[in-house]
Amino acid sequence: MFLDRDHSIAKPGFSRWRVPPAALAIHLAIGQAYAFSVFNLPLSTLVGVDKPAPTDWKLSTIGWIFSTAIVFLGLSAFTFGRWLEEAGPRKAMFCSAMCFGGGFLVAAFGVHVHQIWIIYLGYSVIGGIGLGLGYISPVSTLIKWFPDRPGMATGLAIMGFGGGAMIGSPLAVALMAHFKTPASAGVVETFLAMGALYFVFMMFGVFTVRLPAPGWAPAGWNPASGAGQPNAARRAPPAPDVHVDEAIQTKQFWLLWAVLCLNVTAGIGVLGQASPMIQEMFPGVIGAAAAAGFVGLLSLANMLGRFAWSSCSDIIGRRTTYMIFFLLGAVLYALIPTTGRVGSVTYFVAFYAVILTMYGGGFATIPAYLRDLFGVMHVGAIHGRLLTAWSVAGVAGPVLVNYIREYQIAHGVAKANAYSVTMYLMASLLVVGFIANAMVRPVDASHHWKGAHD
Amino acid sequence: MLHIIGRGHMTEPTASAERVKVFLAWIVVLIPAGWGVAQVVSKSAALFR
Repeated sequence: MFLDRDHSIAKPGFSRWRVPPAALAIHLAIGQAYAFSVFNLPLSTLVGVDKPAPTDWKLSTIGWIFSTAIVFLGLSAFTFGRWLEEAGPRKAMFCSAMCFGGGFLVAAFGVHVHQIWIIYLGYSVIGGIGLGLGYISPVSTLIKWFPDRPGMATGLAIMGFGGGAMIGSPLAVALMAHFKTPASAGVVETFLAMGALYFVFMMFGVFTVRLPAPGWAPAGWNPASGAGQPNAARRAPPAPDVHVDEAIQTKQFWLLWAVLCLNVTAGIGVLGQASPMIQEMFPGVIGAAAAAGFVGLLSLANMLGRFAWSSCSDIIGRRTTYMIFFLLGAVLYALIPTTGRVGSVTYFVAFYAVILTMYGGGFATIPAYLRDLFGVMHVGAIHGRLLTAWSVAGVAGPVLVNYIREYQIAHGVAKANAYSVTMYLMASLLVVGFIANAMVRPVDASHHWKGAHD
Repeated sequence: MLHIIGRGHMTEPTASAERVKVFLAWIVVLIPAGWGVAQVVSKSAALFR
């Protein structure tokens, strides 16, 4: 069957540079999830149209659509990671496209009949499963195609997830403007159109993706001598394979879990609060339009950091890259309250842009870090299990930022200064991450896989 | 095995066709990505006005 793993093996002459666009097609599509907030206001006025009616959903109710989708992303990556390794990337990407596109269609029906639980079922549960499958499916494939540059290859794909919001947000706004009528915000039609568009776009990835033939290696690449590596002297030696069930019993897995969780916690809380934060720290200087520009700039930094840092990790090593994230991140977070006090918008924006490159870089570099420690055999499945750290950070980060801010304001601290404690706390979290990363050592030989390879 | 599969040993027409496929594949994803980036950059300009 076309979707089977065996049918997706590349024929001789196939260029590996066709695989990153396939991965990008999936990640650019599912990255739309980060832009779901553009639907929040229209969904809250479905009945009243111009203003919320008593029967309209509250924003807090609508907010659960995105949060639940991210939880199901983690759960699905955890659950289906092992299956993905057996089924191959094409079948996994196809299932991802069916779930993500289909989720939009079910959610459109939920909007049509005004039943929030149907939207939860469609976008959050079914779509969330598509997110998880789509997120991890290209990763192990790219690592197999680019054993000489695993960081750069996975960074390319995961950069798409960061960039997906940049397409999803203006696309949703344009479609809603197109379908809007005096009696409707056009959400149903927009969901239907986006479901169909994203399905078609993801199918491009399904048709394009290939697996390398067994024993394939890039021309001129020799893992034993280090020839063909970006920096042979500092490259990580190819790690022996570790089975996914064995990997999660190692200290290294949980250290990397902590590394990802702490890096994401420090960034994700700020991303959600970026617009009000810059307006409150620079009252009278930054308005709503400029704040929206700040949010856009952070998205761009987040996206570019994914490619730049993961590529850089191929040269300086994964451990060193995370050392930089944690050390530089802690210093920049500690300096942010000072930029507010001296009223320097430029430094504030620049520091945050750098922090967000490292937030994105943390996501993009982790698959190559896993490959360095646990080998290639089950790297997709291990990555799927590690993504539970993201689910935890996705709740912890915003809660920390919001709770501490409200506590400070309730105790008489001026809004402009209410973020200082949060910034120092984020710096402390990054110091803990630094320690966890410093403790990472190669996996003991007793954990190495001794059976036949898949 | 490697020398058979390596790209440097393909016949010229096949290599050309493959290069076109690579180019087209990148175009398919770079057009929407570029449009998205342009949207963000135009919005970000408000920050520096």
